[in-house]
Amino acid sequence: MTLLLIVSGVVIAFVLALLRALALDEVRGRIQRRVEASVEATISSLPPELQEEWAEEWRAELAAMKSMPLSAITFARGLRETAAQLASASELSPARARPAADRRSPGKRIGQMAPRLSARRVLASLDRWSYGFLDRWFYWILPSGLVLIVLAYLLLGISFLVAAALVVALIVLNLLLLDER
Amino acid sequence: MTIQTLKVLSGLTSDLDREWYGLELSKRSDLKPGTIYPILDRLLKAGWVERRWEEIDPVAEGRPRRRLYRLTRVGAPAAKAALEEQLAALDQPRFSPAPEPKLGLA
Repeated sequence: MTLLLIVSGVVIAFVLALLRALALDEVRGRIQRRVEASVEATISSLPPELQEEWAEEWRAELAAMKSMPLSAITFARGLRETAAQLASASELSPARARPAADRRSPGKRIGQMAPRLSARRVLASLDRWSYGFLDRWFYWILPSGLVLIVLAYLLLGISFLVAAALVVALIVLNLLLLDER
Repeated sequence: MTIQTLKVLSGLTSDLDREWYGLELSKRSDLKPGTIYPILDRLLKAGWVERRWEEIDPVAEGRPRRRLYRLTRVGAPAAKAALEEQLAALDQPRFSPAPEPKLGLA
């Protein structure tokens, strides 16, 4: 009987440890997917020439942070600020300026301005909608993930205590029964 | 030159023979990861920094290739000069001391 209870206590502790690990993996996986989606949205918001320049590098940097979810979140948020700065810098950069021929024809100039405005508008609207939405998800996931982890640790601790208490109680009971005999 | 740019230059000059990943540089410069890229972009355009893709086999390594940054031959002395100039500016007193009152002797 004592042995059975010890074994069941060990099994319960093992199951709880497994559940804790699964909960941790679930939280990490969710965070990773959200962060990847955020980075891809940031990349998509850039003009094509900037996407070509930075997309592969940012994806590689993010891949290097697979085991660091908090760093990955900070990276994704930093990239949002970065994207707006890079886009505005590319609009001002002489290297990426319109060719001289376009400056001679006012009609083409007006036509050329439209894509520059739309890139800014896309960034601004994404910042308002997608990133605000993802931001809310981050703020929901982080605390709820941490709460899950804390609960899992508490459950594990409680289960060990309960198992230990049961074992001690059984040993004491057995000793009392032996004394009576 | 902004403080963030100086931090990046400080990180780059800490080991001139070394090439840095963007993430390493941001940690070295004590900047948030992801915010370093506009600074690197400006330094690249100024010719102070050069970059290259690392030569690895992504399949063998199990990860995508990353970009490495380093100071150029022009950028290294320019970065050092900029950092020294800022340090010298910090050593300069902001206000000139008030002249000591002259004691008139009768």
